[in-house]
Amino acid sequence: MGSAKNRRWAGALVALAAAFFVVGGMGILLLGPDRSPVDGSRDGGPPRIELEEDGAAIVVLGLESPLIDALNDALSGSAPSSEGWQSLFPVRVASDASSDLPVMLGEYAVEGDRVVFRPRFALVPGTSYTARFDPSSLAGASSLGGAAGLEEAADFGALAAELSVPLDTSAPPTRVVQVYPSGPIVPMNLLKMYVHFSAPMSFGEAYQHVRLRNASGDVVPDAILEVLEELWDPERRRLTLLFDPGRIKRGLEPNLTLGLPLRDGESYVLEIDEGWRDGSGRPLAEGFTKEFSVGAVDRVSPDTDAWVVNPPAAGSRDPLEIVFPEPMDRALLDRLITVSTDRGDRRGERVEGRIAVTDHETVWRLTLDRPWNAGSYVIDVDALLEDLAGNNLASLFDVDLTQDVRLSEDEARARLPFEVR
Amino acid sequence: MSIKKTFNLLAVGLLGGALLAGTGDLERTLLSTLTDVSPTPQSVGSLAFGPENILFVGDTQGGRVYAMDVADMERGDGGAVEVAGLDRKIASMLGIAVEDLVISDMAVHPTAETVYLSVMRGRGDGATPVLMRVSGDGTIQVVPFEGMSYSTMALDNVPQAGQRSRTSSITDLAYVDGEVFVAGLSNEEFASNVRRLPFPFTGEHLSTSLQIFHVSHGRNETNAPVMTFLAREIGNQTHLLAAYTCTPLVQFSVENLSDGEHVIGKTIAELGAGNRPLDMIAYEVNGQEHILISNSRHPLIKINPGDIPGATSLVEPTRETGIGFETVEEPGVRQMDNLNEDYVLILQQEGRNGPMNLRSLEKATL
Repeated sequence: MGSAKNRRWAGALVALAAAFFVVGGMGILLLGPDRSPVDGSRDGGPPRIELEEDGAAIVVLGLESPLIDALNDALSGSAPSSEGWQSLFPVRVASDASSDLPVMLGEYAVEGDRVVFRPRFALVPGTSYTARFDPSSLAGASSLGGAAGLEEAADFGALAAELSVPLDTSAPPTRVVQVYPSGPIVPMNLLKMYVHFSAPMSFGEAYQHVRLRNASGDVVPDAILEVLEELWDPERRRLTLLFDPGRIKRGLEPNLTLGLPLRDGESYVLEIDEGWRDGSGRPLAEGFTKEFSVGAVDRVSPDTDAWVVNPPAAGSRDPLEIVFPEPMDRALLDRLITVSTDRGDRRGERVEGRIAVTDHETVWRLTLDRPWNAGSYVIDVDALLEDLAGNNLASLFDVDLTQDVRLSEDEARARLPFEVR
Repeated sequence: MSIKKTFNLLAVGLLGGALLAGTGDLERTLLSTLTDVSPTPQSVGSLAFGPENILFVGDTQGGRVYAMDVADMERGDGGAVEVAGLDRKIASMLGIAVEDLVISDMAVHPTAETVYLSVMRGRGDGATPVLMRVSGDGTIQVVPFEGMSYSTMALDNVPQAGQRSRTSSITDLAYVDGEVFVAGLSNEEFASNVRRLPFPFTGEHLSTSLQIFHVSHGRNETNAPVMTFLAREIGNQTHLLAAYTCTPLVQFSVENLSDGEHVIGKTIAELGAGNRPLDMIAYEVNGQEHILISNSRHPLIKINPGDIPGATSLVEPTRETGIGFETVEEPGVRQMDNLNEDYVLILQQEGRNGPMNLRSLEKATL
């Protein structure tokens, strides 16, 4: 490393030595060594660290040319993510900015009179970052060959800033819009609940924010199965909660030692706290509670013979209606009941429309966007359609081999013909 | 997730020799089928190394499995790997608060002995899947997807109308004799969901839904999602040992598995109430094989696989019955894998929400 370069460095750092800059929050405060405010340098702006408007880069502005030249010389041979750069201009998450931790990954460059850090991953809105620009760190850097002329740089000041991209608060806060089953009574061996949100949620923290309390207000331990993968729909607006199947299934150790999570005749509250963050990182608008009471255990498969089918009139836009004698699994009702024209042995044409489920999941309606044609139709019910206890058409949630029958899916699938007249 | 899962099978397979010979000498029979470049998974979850050191990656959000060539040319030195506060270090590098980091799975590269971690950067709308790599000296790096060779296969056909809300989370995967086995958990119907994808990927499933049942209390037959599994050779047949949500350990023969078949496994142990099985590996000490299971609540459970062939099916599946097991008092073990001949690598959390440490446990002392 040539001595000319060292002299340039020293000159630049002397220029900087007049100021020790401390930047707090989003405001900038410039302090001299005696902690009194100082004037800025050229360009009408003082040396400072700023976030580019799109958040894609953190830049140091207002540096004197000799310092820029010195940086160019000192770091021209360095990789854009080298340790020299990282110690000159480290960026860390403010909540855990220990110098023992690695700095945020990204690439550095001198661009004109600016020093630029482009993080490899975008800054997270709502998270604060600490950026520090410290030319004295280069004084002893091995890339400069430990040049003696730069050691005095250690005496010089540094720039620091805490920066953040604000959370987007333009959308209304997210809230829980519905919980299924929606009815006031559930079977003692209830298997699932679905929680619907008004907007996409975050993942990986669901079980910290959902609790089941009994009538005394105590949390029921181990009632809900914690699944690391969290069972969200693709938009992350619906979470499936599973009551611990091991406690529901007869004969398994959790069932034998802990019993069912819900008790017949008792009432419970599903409680969701407002601390749960939505996809944008904001908490829910408010907490949510759903009260329900518990009825008898359900160990009967859904029986389609007991369903009431109310066909629409030909030429009308009335819905096709099916009434179930018990509430069914809300999600599966969208998918596992289909209607087609009945052509006897041949495959009929699928009749598509809008599905509505009402009356606490005991009524299913299909509305077409055109009038119904007269003719023969058939409702196909998939064998995997479940009631609230996870019993489907083929078998119970758990089959007692001494008295229950398990059908194959083909045997269990139901066909319910109806006429539109 | 474990290379050991596939290692036993590979060691007796055609590719075993190539695997043992190290990356540099590898035949590229399967690697050469990874003809796409720069994968773009929507999420990264379950990990497993397979033949020719191909890394299989589960993408729950995208509903896909990826086969990736991580092109890791390092050679392991057989030593231990220790990184304290691994989650804080990764979060700092990725520029997120540690609460916003999700470490999904861990797998050790069979020849490089480097540690691969699937992580999600963030938990919200902008969450990004990232593959990280930890070297023997503790150096942590991002493994870039840019320029990486891969192939991929979708788990489901394109969803039909009304199916948009259904997902199948991938709980575990492993390469077993020319197929990738994928265990999953549906957010709608409650069922066992194990798929077999021929590898190299053809776009065809060998099966879409295996119905694997187990019997409890001698009379109650049920199926359930598999949380973690391990493939092993027992009596010249490939068997899967599967740990369920609820929490029996069940063994069944792969040869009996075909689409739509009603397969009943043999319940050989019960892992206990209020607990979730998290990971399962097999390892050897002085020629004696052991199986280690990590759990959400219980300490590590150690099983002697030699007990399995003779085990009778559990009639009363309580912890006092079934095949015997020992416990290893290492709490909070989230992930495990074989690091090398001498060590099992664990990702261990201190307390309920404490830091995650990468530690090497000497196999001989387990």
